[in-house]
Amino acid sequence: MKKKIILLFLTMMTPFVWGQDVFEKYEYNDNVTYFSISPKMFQMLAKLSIETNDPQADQLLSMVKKIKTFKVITTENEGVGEDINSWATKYIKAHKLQELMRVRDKEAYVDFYVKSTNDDLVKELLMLVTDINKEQVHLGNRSPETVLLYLNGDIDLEQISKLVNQMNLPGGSQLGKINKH
Amino acid sequence: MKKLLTLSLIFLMWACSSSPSIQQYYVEKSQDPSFLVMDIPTSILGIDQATLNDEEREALASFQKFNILLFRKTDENQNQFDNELDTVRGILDNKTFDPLLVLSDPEYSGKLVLQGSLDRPDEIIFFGSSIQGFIVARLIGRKMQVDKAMLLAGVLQREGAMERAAKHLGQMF
Repeated sequence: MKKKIILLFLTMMTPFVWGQDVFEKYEYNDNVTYFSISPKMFQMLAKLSIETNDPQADQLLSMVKKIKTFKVITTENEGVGEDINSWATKYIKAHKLQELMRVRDKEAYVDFYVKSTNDDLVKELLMLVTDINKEQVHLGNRSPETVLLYLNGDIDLEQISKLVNQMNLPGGSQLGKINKH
Repeated sequence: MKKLLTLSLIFLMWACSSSPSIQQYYVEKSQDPSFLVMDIPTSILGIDQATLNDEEREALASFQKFNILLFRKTDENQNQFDNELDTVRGILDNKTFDPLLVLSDPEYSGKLVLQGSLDRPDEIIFFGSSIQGFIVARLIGRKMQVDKAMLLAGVLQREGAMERAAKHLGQMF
């Protein structure tokens, strides 16, 4: 009986413990721009049976249906940037993500971490962009200091790079090069 | 075992009733001059039921109305704006709503949430804010057949319903 109560309590607590990630923490913070698509939204998209006559859009759509979570956070604030950075480092360790690629160039430092099942598909993708050269990189009217992008689901890297490219995020073009290596 | 059941039931009820509902908020604010509250039934689309097949009729009937609340920011209500924004965010952060899309930026924000099951939601709410004010738009129904949305979009187009609704709304102002 006692055990059961403890178990029940623990189950109820889990969402509270795991729920607080860096994305949710800064959701309403004035120093960040945050965008997320929840698993439910992806499930709903899959059900809507949207049809386009554009093969490229169809391809993108079928890829999108396999994604479960999409989150991106960017900030211009140095302190918040450091916090995002340290959360990412902890997450990578705790969830045993592997480094896929590191890019160091004039524009920014871009790190990719993945959890993969086989060569073509990855289960989780984390992209961290830091040390952004503010004179060269702009997102709309903002020049971010740090960008963190998180994806999980069944992810085809080549397709993702197209998506990231379309969103004009730094790192997208690097991601596209992965498969060509 | 019975005790356990009662306990979890109490917990559940507490979880559901701990924050004011969005409906209460609408009712409250309909008297407030800073707000504009509109209730638009789906009948405004003026679709002739006779032209629909069974599937279309059933799908359309699951959507009941569109409820809109607007807050326009002025120099005088800046403080109220901040408070109301916090209140709405608090309501929508309740566990009874499942977030679908979240976008937030220092200058604007948007959030799409759903209540009920994913297959047959009872309510879909869009909340958007900018430096000019905010809007809460609720699509309310009973076990809405969202998977038929594409089918209904076809019906709306066929019946020229959107043009008619726009005309109706235009006359309201």
